[in-house]
Amino acid sequence: MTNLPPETRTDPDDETLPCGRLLSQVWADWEEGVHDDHTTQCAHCRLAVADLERLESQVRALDSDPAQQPVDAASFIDRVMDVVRLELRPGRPLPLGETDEDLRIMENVAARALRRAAEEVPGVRAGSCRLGGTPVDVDLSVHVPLTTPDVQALAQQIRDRVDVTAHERLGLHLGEINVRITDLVSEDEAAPRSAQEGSAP
Amino acid sequence: MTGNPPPGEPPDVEGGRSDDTLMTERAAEGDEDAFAVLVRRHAPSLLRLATRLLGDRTEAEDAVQEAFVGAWRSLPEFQGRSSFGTWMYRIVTNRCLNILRARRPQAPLNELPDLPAPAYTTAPDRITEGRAALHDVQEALSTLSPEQRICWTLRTLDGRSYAFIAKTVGISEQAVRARVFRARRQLTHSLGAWQ
Amino acid sequence: MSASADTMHSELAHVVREVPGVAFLAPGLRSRLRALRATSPLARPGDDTPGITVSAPSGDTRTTVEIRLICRSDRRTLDTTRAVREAVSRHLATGYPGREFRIIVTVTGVT
Repeated sequence: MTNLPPETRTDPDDETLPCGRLLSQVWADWEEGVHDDHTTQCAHCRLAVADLERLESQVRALDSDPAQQPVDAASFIDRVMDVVRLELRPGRPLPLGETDEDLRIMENVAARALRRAAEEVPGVRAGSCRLGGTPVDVDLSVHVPLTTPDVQALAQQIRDRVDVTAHERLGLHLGEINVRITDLVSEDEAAPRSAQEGSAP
Repeated sequence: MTGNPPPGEPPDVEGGRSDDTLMTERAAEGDEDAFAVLVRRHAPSLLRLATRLLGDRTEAEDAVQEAFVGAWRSLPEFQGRSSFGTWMYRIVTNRCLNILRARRPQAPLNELPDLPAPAYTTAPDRITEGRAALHDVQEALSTLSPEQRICWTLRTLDGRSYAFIAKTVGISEQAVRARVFRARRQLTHSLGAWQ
Repeated sequence: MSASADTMHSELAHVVREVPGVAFLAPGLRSRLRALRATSPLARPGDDTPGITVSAPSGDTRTTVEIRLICRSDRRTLDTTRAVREAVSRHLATGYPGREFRIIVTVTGVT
Protein backbone atom coordinates (compact mmCIF):
# COMPACT_ATOMS: atom_id res chain seq x y z
CA MET A 1 0.00 0.00 0.00
CA THR A 2 3.00 2.27 0.18
CA ASN A 3 2.72 3.44 -3.40
CA LEU A 4 -0.81 4.66 -2.98
CA PRO A 5 -1.17 8.36 -3.70
CA PRO A 6 -2.81 9.81 -0.61
CA GLU A 7 -5.69 11.44 -2.46
CA THR A 8 -7.10 8.20 -3.85
CA ARG A 9 -7.60 6.84 -0.36
CA THR A 10 -9.89 9.71 0.48
CA ASP A 11 -12.00 9.74 -2.69
CA PRO A 12 -15.59 9.29 -1.52
CA ASP A 13 -16.41 7.64 -4.84
CA ASP A 14 -13.82 4.98 -4.40
CA GLU A 15 -14.75 1.39 -4.08
CA THR A 16 -13.32 -1.60 -2.26
CA LEU A 17 -12.89 -4.79 -4.28
CA PRO A 18 -13.87 -8.09 -2.64
CA CYS A 19 -10.16 -8.74 -1.96
CA GLY A 20 -9.99 -5.58 0.16
CA ARG A 21 -8.03 -3.40 -2.24
CA LEU A 22 -9.30 -0.05 -3.38
CA LEU A 23 -10.21 0.09 -7.05
CA SER A 24 -8.45 3.45 -7.39
CA GLN A 25 -5.24 1.95 -6.06
CA VAL A 26 -5.38 -1.06 -8.36
CA TRP A 27 -5.81 1.20 -11.37
CA ALA A 28 -3.19 3.68 -10.19
CA ASP A 29 -0.68 0.85 -9.67
CA TRP A 30 -1.40 -0.46 -13.14
CA GLU A 31 -0.94 2.97 -14.62
CA GLU A 32 2.36 3.49 -12.86
CA GLY A 33 3.58 -0.02 -13.58
CA VAL A 34 3.65 -1.02 -9.90
CA HIS A 35 3.29 -4.73 -9.11
CA ASP A 36 3.27 -6.73 -5.91
CA ASP A 37 2.55 -10.35 -5.03
CA HIS A 38 -1.11 -9.65 -4.41
CA THR A 39 -1.91 -7.98 -7.72
CA THR A 40 -0.27 -10.71 -9.79
CA GLN A 41 -2.36 -13.39 -8.07
CA CYS A 42 -5.66 -11.79 -7.06
CA ALA A 43 -8.46 -12.58 -9.49
CA HIS A 44 -10.40 -9.46 -8.52
CA CYS A 45 -7.48 -7.15 -9.14
CA ARG A 46 -6.66 -8.83 -12.44
CA LEU A 47 -10.24 -8.51 -13.62
CA ALA A 48 -10.35 -4.84 -12.68
CA VAL A 49 -7.13 -4.15 -14.58
CA ALA A 50 -8.29 -6.19 -17.57
CA ASP A 51 -11.42 -4.06 -17.81
CA LEU A 52 -9.47 -0.83 -17.75
CA GLU A 53 -6.98 -2.17 -20.30
CA ARG A 54 -9.80 -3.10 -22.64
CA LEU A 55 -11.43 0.27 -22.22
CA GLU A 56 -8.23 2.08 -23.03
CA SER A 57 -7.25 -0.10 -25.95
CA GLN A 58 -10.72 0.24 -27.43
CA VAL A 59 -10.87 4.02 -27.19
CA ARG A 60 -7.34 4.26 -28.57
CA ALA A 61 -8.29 2.05 -31.49
CA LEU A 62 -11.18 4.39 -32.25
CA ASP A 63 -9.01 7.43 -31.73
CA SER A 64 -6.54 6.33 -34.39
CA ASP A 65 -9.37 5.69 -36.82
CA PRO A 66 -8.40 7.72 -39.91
CA ALA A 67 -11.97 9.01 -40.21
CA GLN A 68 -11.40 10.78 -36.91
CA GLN A 69 -8.24 12.51 -38.02
CA PRO A 70 -8.00 16.02 -39.44
CA VAL A 71 -7.90 15.77 -43.20
CA ASP A 72 -7.65 19.26 -44.61
CA ALA A 73 -5.44 21.35 -42.38
CA ALA A 74 -4.44 23.62 -45.28
CA SER A 75 -7.86 25.19 -45.80
CA PHE A 76 -8.26 25.53 -42.05
CA ILE A 77 -4.99 27.47 -41.82
CA ASP A 78 -6.09 29.74 -44.68
CA ARG A 79 -9.31 30.49 -42.87
CA VAL A 80 -7.50 31.42 -39.66
CA MET A 81 -5.08 33.68 -41.50
CA ASP A 82 -7.92 35.39 -43.41
CA VAL A 83 -9.40 36.47 -40.09
CA VAL A 84 -5.99 37.49 -38.74
CA ARG A 85 -5.36 39.66 -41.82
CA LEU A 86 -8.44 41.69 -40.98
CA GLU A 87 -6.77 42.64 -37.70
CA LEU A 88 -3.26 43.52 -38.72
CA ARG A 89 -0.93 45.45 -36.43
CA PRO A 90 1.39 47.29 -38.81
CA GLY A 91 3.00 49.46 -36.14
CA ARG A 92 3.86 53.14 -36.57
CA PRO A 93 5.04 54.89 -39.72
CA LEU A 94 8.80 55.58 -39.81
CA PRO A 95 10.35 58.32 -41.95
CA LEU A 96 12.02 57.26 -45.17
CA GLY A 97 14.74 59.55 -46.53
CA GLU A 98 14.71 63.00 -44.91
CA THR A 99 12.11 63.64 -42.22
CA ASP A 100 10.43 66.45 -44.20
CA GLU A 101 9.88 64.31 -47.27
CA ASP A 102 6.51 62.90 -46.17
CA LEU A 103 7.69 59.45 -47.22
CA ARG A 104 7.06 56.69 -44.71
CA ILE A 105 7.41 52.99 -44.17
CA MET A 106 5.38 51.05 -41.65
CA GLU A 107 7.41 49.77 -38.71
CA ASN A 108 6.55 46.13 -39.43
CA VAL A 109 7.65 46.31 -43.03
CA ALA A 110 11.01 47.75 -42.03
CA ALA A 111 11.39 45.27 -39.16
CA ARG A 112 10.80 42.37 -41.52
CA ALA A 113 13.48 43.60 -43.92
CA LEU A 114 15.99 44.14 -41.10
CA ARG A 115 15.36 40.70 -39.59
CA ARG A 116 15.97 39.19 -42.98
CA ALA A 117 19.18 41.20 -43.26
CA ALA A 118 20.42 39.82 -39.93
CA GLU A 119 19.64 36.31 -41.15
CA GLU A 120 21.94 36.79 -44.14
CA VAL A 121 24.72 36.10 -41.63
CA PRO A 122 25.03 32.29 -41.65
CA GLY A 123 23.38 30.53 -38.71
CA VAL A 124 21.68 33.65 -37.37
CA ARG A 125 17.93 33.64 -36.68
CA ALA A 126 16.14 36.86 -35.80
CA GLY A 127 13.22 37.36 -33.41
CA SER A 128 12.13 40.64 -31.87
CA CYS A 129 13.00 43.75 -33.89
CA ARG A 130 11.83 47.01 -32.36
CA LEU A 131 12.27 50.33 -34.13
CA GLY A 132 11.77 53.86 -32.86
CA GLY A 133 13.12 57.34 -32.43
CA THR A 134 14.65 59.81 -34.90
CA PRO A 135 16.90 58.70 -36.39
CA VAL A 136 15.48 55.24 -35.98
CA ASP A 137 17.12 53.05 -33.32
CA VAL A 138 17.02 49.28 -33.79
CA ASP A 139 16.71 46.73 -30.97
CA LEU A 140 17.19 43.31 -32.46
CA SER A 141 17.12 39.90 -30.70
CA VAL A 142 18.85 36.97 -32.35
CA HIS A 143 19.66 33.33 -31.79
CA VAL A 144 23.14 32.37 -32.93
CA PRO A 145 24.87 28.99 -33.27
CA LEU A 146 26.30 27.50 -30.09
CA THR A 147 29.51 26.93 -32.02
CA THR A 148 30.07 30.62 -32.80
CA PRO A 149 33.81 31.20 -32.18
CA ASP A 150 33.53 34.97 -31.64
CA VAL A 151 30.14 36.24 -30.56
CA GLN A 152 31.21 39.89 -30.59
CA ALA A 153 32.44 39.61 -34.16
CA LEU A 154 29.19 37.94 -35.16
CA ALA A 155 27.18 40.74 -33.55
CA GLN A 156 29.20 43.26 -35.53
CA GLN A 157 28.52 41.36 -38.75
CA ILE A 158 24.82 41.48 -37.98
CA ARG A 159 24.95 45.24 -37.30
CA ASP A 160 26.72 45.75 -40.61
CA ARG A 161 24.15 43.74 -42.54
CA VAL A 162 21.29 45.61 -40.89
CA ASP A 163 22.92 48.96 -41.60
CA VAL A 164 23.58 48.15 -45.25
CA THR A 165 20.02 46.92 -45.79
CA ALA A 166 18.51 49.97 -44.10
CA HIS A 167 20.47 52.31 -46.37
CA GLU A 168 20.71 50.43 -49.62
CA ARG A 169 17.43 48.55 -49.80
CA LEU A 170 15.06 50.71 -47.77
CA GLY A 171 16.52 54.21 -47.52
CA LEU A 172 15.98 54.45 -43.78
CA HIS A 173 18.36 56.50 -41.60
CA LEU A 174 19.33 54.45 -38.57
CA GLY A 175 20.62 55.59 -35.21
CA GLU A 176 21.90 52.92 -32.86
CA ILE A 177 21.74 49.27 -33.80
CA ASN A 178 21.56 47.12 -30.68
CA VAL A 179 21.95 43.39 -31.21
CA ARG A 180 20.94 41.19 -28.30
CA ILE A 181 21.87 37.52 -28.41
CA THR A 182 19.03 35.81 -26.56
CA ASP A 183 20.07 32.22 -27.17
CA LEU A 184 22.94 30.06 -28.32
CA VAL A 185 21.37 27.28 -30.32
CA SER A 186 22.76 23.85 -31.16
CA GLU A 187 22.04 22.36 -34.57
CA ASP A 188 19.26 20.00 -33.47
CA GLU A 189 17.35 22.66 -31.53
CA ALA A 190 16.95 24.86 -34.55
CA ALA A 191 14.01 24.23 -36.83
CA PRO A 192 14.56 23.72 -40.53
CA ARG A 193 14.95 26.93 -42.47
CA SER A 194 11.75 26.09 -44.29
CA ALA A 195 10.04 27.50 -41.23
CA GLN A 196 10.53 30.81 -42.97
CA GLU A 197 8.40 29.85 -45.91
CA GLY A 198 5.76 32.35 -44.84
CA SER A 199 7.89 35.43 -45.33
CA ALA A 200 8.41 37.17 -48.61
CA PRO A 201 11.84 36.99 -50.20
CA MET B 1 -0.39 -9.72 -15.70
CA THR B 2 2.38 -7.57 -17.07
CA GLY B 3 0.68 -4.20 -16.84
CA ASN B 4 0.86 -1.60 -19.54
CA PRO B 5 3.86 0.63 -19.61
CA PRO B 6 2.52 3.86 -18.19
CA PRO B 7 1.79 6.41 -20.88
CA GLY B 8 4.73 8.79 -20.78
CA GLU B 9 4.85 12.44 -21.60
CA PRO B 10 4.52 12.69 -25.36
CA PRO B 11 7.00 14.73 -27.33
CA ASP B 12 6.35 18.42 -26.97
CA VAL B 13 3.68 19.76 -29.28
CA GLU B 14 6.06 22.15 -30.99
CA GLY B 15 8.86 21.36 -33.35
CA GLY B 16 12.00 23.48 -33.21
CA ARG B 17 11.71 25.14 -29.82
CA SER B 18 14.21 27.84 -30.68
CA ASP B 19 12.43 28.74 -33.88
CA ASP B 20 9.06 28.78 -32.13
CA THR B 21 10.36 31.34 -29.67
CA LEU B 22 11.56 33.59 -32.48
CA MET B 23 8.34 33.27 -34.45
CA THR B 24 6.36 34.10 -31.31
CA GLU B 25 8.42 37.26 -30.74
CA ARG B 26 7.87 38.31 -34.33
CA ALA B 27 4.16 37.59 -34.25
CA ALA B 28 3.84 39.56 -31.00
CA GLU B 29 5.29 42.53 -32.88
CA GLY B 30 2.64 42.16 -35.57
CA ASP B 31 4.40 39.95 -38.12
CA GLU B 32 1.51 37.96 -39.50
CA ASP B 33 3.80 35.80 -41.65
CA ALA B 34 5.50 34.56 -38.48
CA PHE B 35 2.07 33.89 -36.99
CA ALA B 36 1.16 31.91 -40.11
CA VAL B 37 4.22 29.73 -39.50
CA LEU B 38 3.05 29.08 -35.94
CA VAL B 39 -0.49 28.32 -37.08
CA ARG B 40 0.76 25.91 -39.72
CA ARG B 41 3.02 24.22 -37.20
CA HIS B 42 0.51 23.88 -34.36
CA ALA B 43 -2.86 23.56 -36.09
CA PRO B 44 -2.73 19.80 -36.78
CA SER B 45 -2.03 18.79 -33.18
CA LEU B 46 -4.48 21.34 -31.75
CA LEU B 47 -7.20 20.19 -34.13
CA ARG B 48 -6.57 16.63 -33.04
CA LEU B 49 -6.75 17.70 -29.40
CA ALA B 50 -10.01 19.62 -29.84
CA THR B 51 -11.57 16.83 -31.88
CA ARG B 52 -10.76 14.41 -29.07
CA LEU B 53 -12.12 16.74 -26.43
CA LEU B 54 -15.32 17.64 -28.26
CA GLY B 55 -15.91 14.53 -30.36
CA ASP B 56 -16.95 16.73 -33.25
CA ARG B 57 -14.67 17.88 -36.04
CA THR B 58 -16.63 21.00 -37.02
CA GLU B 59 -16.92 22.26 -33.48
CA ALA B 60 -13.24 21.47 -33.00
CA GLU B 61 -12.28 23.61 -36.00
CA ASP B 62 -14.34 26.51 -34.71
CA ALA B 63 -12.79 26.21 -31.26
CA VAL B 64 -9.23 26.11 -32.57
CA GLN B 65 -9.84 28.96 -35.02
CA GLU B 66 -11.19 31.15 -32.23
CA ALA B 67 -8.26 30.15 -30.04
CA PHE B 68 -5.77 31.21 -32.72
CA VAL B 69 -7.52 34.51 -33.39
CA GLY B 70 -7.65 35.19 -29.66
CA ALA B 71 -3.96 34.35 -29.43
CA TRP B 72 -3.15 36.79 -32.25
CA ARG B 73 -4.98 39.53 -30.34
CA SER B 74 -3.31 38.86 -27.01
CA LEU B 75 0.18 38.10 -28.29
CA PRO B 76 1.44 41.65 -27.60
CA GLU B 77 0.78 40.95 -23.90
CA PHE B 78 2.14 37.40 -24.03
CA GLN B 79 5.21 37.43 -21.84
CA GLY B 80 6.62 34.17 -23.10
CA ARG B 81 6.47 32.55 -19.66
CA SER B 82 5.57 29.32 -21.43
CA SER B 83 6.17 28.21 -24.98
CA PHE B 84 3.66 29.13 -27.69
CA GLY B 85 2.68 25.47 -27.97
CA THR B 86 1.93 25.10 -24.27
CA TRP B 87 0.05 28.39 -24.23
CA MET B 88 -2.13 27.36 -27.18
CA TYR B 89 -2.72 23.91 -25.68
CA ARG B 90 -4.06 25.63 -22.59
CA ILE B 91 -6.25 28.07 -24.53
CA VAL B 92 -7.76 25.30 -26.67
CA THR B 93 -8.37 22.99 -23.70
CA ASN B 94 -10.14 25.68 -21.73
CA ARG B 95 -12.21 26.75 -24.71
CA CYS B 96 -13.30 23.13 -25.18
CA LEU B 97 -14.13 22.88 -21.50
CA ASN B 98 -16.42 25.90 -21.85
CA ILE B 99 -18.04 24.44 -24.96
CA LEU B 100 -18.71 21.16 -23.14
CA ARG B 101 -20.17 23.07 -20.19
CA ALA B 102 -22.46 25.01 -22.49
CA ARG B 103 -23.66 21.74 -24.01
CA ARG B 104 -24.76 20.32 -20.69
CA PRO B 105 -28.26 21.78 -20.40
CA GLN B 106 -29.23 19.85 -23.53
CA ALA B 107 -28.25 16.53 -22.03
CA PRO B 108 -31.17 14.43 -20.82
CA LEU B 109 -31.60 14.49 -17.07
CA ASN B 110 -30.71 10.84 -16.63
CA GLU B 111 -27.32 11.55 -18.16
CA LEU B 112 -26.39 14.32 -15.75
CA PRO B 113 -22.82 13.38 -15.19
CA ASP B 114 -21.68 14.31 -11.74
CA LEU B 115 -23.75 11.60 -10.12
CA PRO B 116 -21.43 8.97 -8.72
CA ALA B 117 -20.84 6.18 -11.16
CA PRO B 118 -22.67 2.94 -10.49
CA ALA B 119 -20.57 0.63 -8.38
CA TYR B 120 -17.94 -1.04 -10.49
CA THR B 121 -18.24 -4.41 -8.80
CA THR B 122 -21.93 -4.65 -9.54
CA ALA B 123 -21.61 -3.84 -13.24
CA PRO B 124 -23.83 -6.34 -14.99
CA ASP B 125 -21.31 -7.20 -17.67
CA ARG B 126 -17.63 -6.85 -18.31
CA ILE B 127 -16.33 -5.13 -21.39
CA THR B 128 -15.87 -7.86 -23.95
CA GLU B 129 -12.85 -8.31 -26.15
CA GLY B 130 -14.81 -7.05 -29.14
CA ARG B 131 -14.25 -3.52 -30.32
CA ALA B 132 -16.78 -1.07 -29.01
CA ALA B 133 -18.58 0.89 -31.68
CA LEU B 134 -17.66 4.53 -32.07
CA HIS B 135 -21.22 5.41 -31.27
CA ASP B 136 -21.09 3.56 -27.97
CA VAL B 137 -17.89 5.25 -26.92
CA GLN B 138 -19.21 8.66 -27.85
CA GLU B 139 -22.39 8.04 -25.97
CA ALA B 140 -20.43 6.86 -22.96
CA LEU B 141 -18.23 9.96 -23.15
CA SER B 142 -21.28 12.20 -23.21
CA THR B 143 -22.25 10.89 -19.80
CA LEU B 144 -19.09 12.31 -18.27
CA SER B 145 -19.00 15.76 -16.75
CA PRO B 146 -17.05 18.27 -18.87
CA GLU B 147 -14.26 18.27 -16.28
CA GLN B 148 -14.05 14.49 -16.19
CA ARG B 149 -14.08 14.26 -19.95
CA ILE B 150 -11.30 16.82 -20.35
CA CYS B 151 -9.07 15.24 -17.70
CA TRP B 152 -9.66 11.70 -18.95
CA THR B 153 -9.04 12.65 -22.60
CA LEU B 154 -5.82 14.49 -21.87
CA ARG B 155 -4.62 11.56 -19.77
CA THR B 156 -5.71 8.59 -21.84
CA LEU B 157 -5.79 9.81 -25.44
CA ASP B 158 -3.26 12.61 -25.30
CA GLY B 159 -0.97 10.79 -22.86
CA ARG B 160 -0.33 13.84 -20.65
CA SER B 161 0.99 13.60 -17.10
CA TYR B 162 -1.28 14.42 -14.17
CA ALA B 163 0.93 17.39 -13.33
CA PHE B 164 0.68 18.74 -16.88
CA ILE B 165 -3.11 18.39 -16.90
CA ALA B 166 -3.38 20.09 -13.51
CA LYS B 167 -1.43 23.08 -14.82
CA THR B 168 -3.36 23.19 -18.08
CA VAL B 169 -6.81 23.10 -16.52
CA GLY B 170 -5.83 25.10 -13.45
CA ILE B 171 -6.86 22.61 -10.76
CA SER B 172 -4.87 20.49 -8.33
CA GLU B 173 -3.21 17.27 -9.39
CA GLN B 174 -5.32 15.52 -6.79
CA ALA B 175 -8.50 16.80 -8.44
CA VAL B 176 -7.25 15.63 -11.84
CA ARG B 177 -6.58 12.12 -10.47
CA ALA B 178 -10.02 11.98 -8.93
CA ARG B 179 -11.68 13.05 -12.18
CA VAL B 180 -9.76 10.58 -14.30
CA PHE B 181 -10.63 7.82 -11.84
CA ARG B 182 -14.34 8.65 -11.89
CA ALA B 183 -14.31 8.86 -15.69
CA ARG B 184 -12.70 5.45 -15.93
CA ARG B 185 -15.20 3.95 -13.55
CA GLN B 186 -18.09 5.48 -15.45
CA LEU B 187 -16.73 4.39 -18.84
CA THR B 188 -15.89 0.81 -17.89
CA HIS B 189 -19.37 0.56 -16.50
CA SER B 190 -21.18 2.14 -19.47
CA LEU B 191 -19.28 0.21 -22.09
CA GLY B 192 -19.50 -3.04 -20.17
CA ALA B 193 -23.23 -2.65 -19.78
CA TRP B 194 -23.73 -2.25 -23.52
CA GLN B 195 -22.15 -5.44 -24.69
CA MET C 1 -17.55 60.83 -53.11
CA SER C 2 -18.01 63.46 -55.85
CA ALA C 3 -17.47 62.57 -59.47
CA SER C 4 -14.29 64.64 -59.66
CA ALA C 5 -12.83 63.06 -56.53
CA ASP C 6 -13.67 59.69 -58.00
CA THR C 7 -11.89 60.64 -61.21
CA MET C 8 -8.87 61.90 -59.28
CA HIS C 9 -8.71 58.55 -57.47
CA SER C 10 -8.68 56.43 -60.57
CA GLU C 11 -6.26 58.76 -62.36
CA LEU C 12 -3.86 58.64 -59.43
CA ALA C 13 -4.23 54.89 -59.08
CA HIS C 14 -3.21 54.56 -62.70
CA VAL C 15 -0.28 56.95 -62.30
CA VAL C 16 1.02 55.18 -59.19
CA ARG C 17 0.77 51.70 -60.71
CA GLU C 18 2.94 52.81 -63.62
CA VAL C 19 5.84 53.80 -61.35
CA PRO C 20 8.70 51.29 -61.46
CA GLY C 21 9.08 49.48 -58.16
CA VAL C 22 5.41 49.70 -57.23
CA ALA C 23 3.82 46.27 -56.74
CA PHE C 24 0.27 47.42 -56.01
CA LEU C 25 -1.77 49.85 -53.97
CA ALA C 26 -2.61 48.81 -50.43
CA PRO C 27 -5.72 46.66 -50.40
CA GLY C 28 -8.57 47.98 -48.31
CA LEU C 29 -10.94 46.20 -46.06
CA ARG C 30 -13.24 45.56 -49.02
CA SER C 31 -10.62 43.51 -50.84
CA ARG C 32 -9.61 41.74 -47.72
CA LEU C 33 -13.20 40.81 -46.94
CA ARG C 34 -13.64 39.56 -50.44
CA ALA C 35 -10.58 37.42 -49.99
CA LEU C 36 -12.34 35.93 -47.01
CA ARG C 37 -14.91 34.45 -49.32
CA ALA C 38 -12.33 32.10 -50.73
CA THR C 39 -10.13 32.59 -53.71
CA SER C 40 -12.27 34.61 -56.07
CA PRO C 41 -10.19 35.84 -59.02
CA LEU C 42 -11.86 39.20 -58.39
CA ALA C 43 -10.16 39.45 -55.03
CA ARG C 44 -6.91 40.77 -56.45
CA PRO C 45 -5.42 43.49 -54.31
CA GLY C 46 -5.81 46.89 -55.92
CA ASP C 47 -9.23 46.34 -57.42
CA ASP C 48 -10.52 49.29 -55.48
CA THR C 49 -8.47 52.35 -54.54
CA PRO C 50 -8.37 52.40 -50.73
CA GLY C 51 -4.63 52.92 -51.12
CA ILE C 52 -5.38 56.52 -52.03
CA THR C 53 -6.98 59.01 -49.67
CA VAL C 54 -7.72 62.63 -50.58
CA SER C 55 -8.63 64.98 -47.76
CA ALA C 56 -8.64 68.66 -46.92
CA PRO C 57 -7.62 69.11 -43.30
CA SER C 58 -9.10 72.25 -41.77
CA GLY C 59 -6.59 75.05 -41.34
CA ASP C 60 -4.55 73.83 -44.28
CA THR C 61 -5.01 75.41 -47.67
CA ARG C 62 -3.51 72.32 -49.23
CA THR C 63 -5.34 69.17 -50.13
CA THR C 64 -3.67 66.10 -48.65
CA VAL C 65 -3.20 63.12 -50.92
CA GLU C 66 -2.03 59.98 -49.17
CA ILE C 67 -0.80 57.03 -51.19
CA ARG C 68 -0.45 53.68 -49.44
CA LEU C 69 1.37 51.05 -51.42
CA ILE C 70 3.27 47.81 -51.53
CA CYS C 71 6.73 48.08 -53.10
CA ARG C 72 8.75 45.52 -54.96
CA SER C 73 11.86 44.38 -53.18
CA ASP C 74 14.06 44.65 -56.26
CA ARG C 75 14.21 48.43 -56.01
CA ARG C 76 15.30 50.65 -53.13
CA THR C 77 12.13 51.53 -51.27
CA LEU C 78 13.05 55.19 -50.84
CA ASP C 79 13.66 55.56 -54.58
CA THR C 80 10.28 54.03 -55.36
CA THR C 81 8.44 56.31 -52.95
CA ARG C 82 10.25 59.38 -54.30
CA ALA C 83 9.34 58.37 -57.83
CA VAL C 84 5.72 57.94 -56.77
CA ARG C 85 5.72 61.38 -55.19
CA GLU C 86 7.19 62.94 -58.32
CA ALA C 87 4.72 61.19 -60.61
CA VAL C 88 1.74 62.13 -58.47
CA SER C 89 2.97 65.70 -58.12
CA ARG C 90 3.41 66.03 -61.89
CA HIS C 91 -0.02 64.64 -62.56
CA LEU C 92 -1.72 66.94 -60.06
CA ALA C 93 0.17 70.01 -61.32
CA THR C 94 -1.08 69.48 -64.86
CA GLY C 95 -4.54 68.15 -64.03
CA TYR C 96 -5.38 70.54 -61.21
CA PRO C 97 -3.51 73.77 -61.85
CA GLY C 98 -3.71 76.38 -59.14
CA ARG C 99 -4.42 73.88 -56.39
CA GLU C 100 -1.87 73.03 -53.73
CA PHE C 101 -1.30 69.50 -52.56
CA ARG C 102 0.59 67.79 -49.79
CA ILE C 103 1.60 64.33 -50.92
CA ILE C 104 2.29 61.58 -48.38
CA VAL C 105 3.57 58.20 -49.52
CA THR C 106 3.39 55.31 -47.06
CA VAL C 107 4.86 51.87 -47.70
CA THR C 108 2.63 49.20 -46.13
CA GLY C 109 4.47 46.24 -47.56
CA VAL C 110 7.43 45.03 -49.58
CA THR C 111 7.03 41.99 -51.76
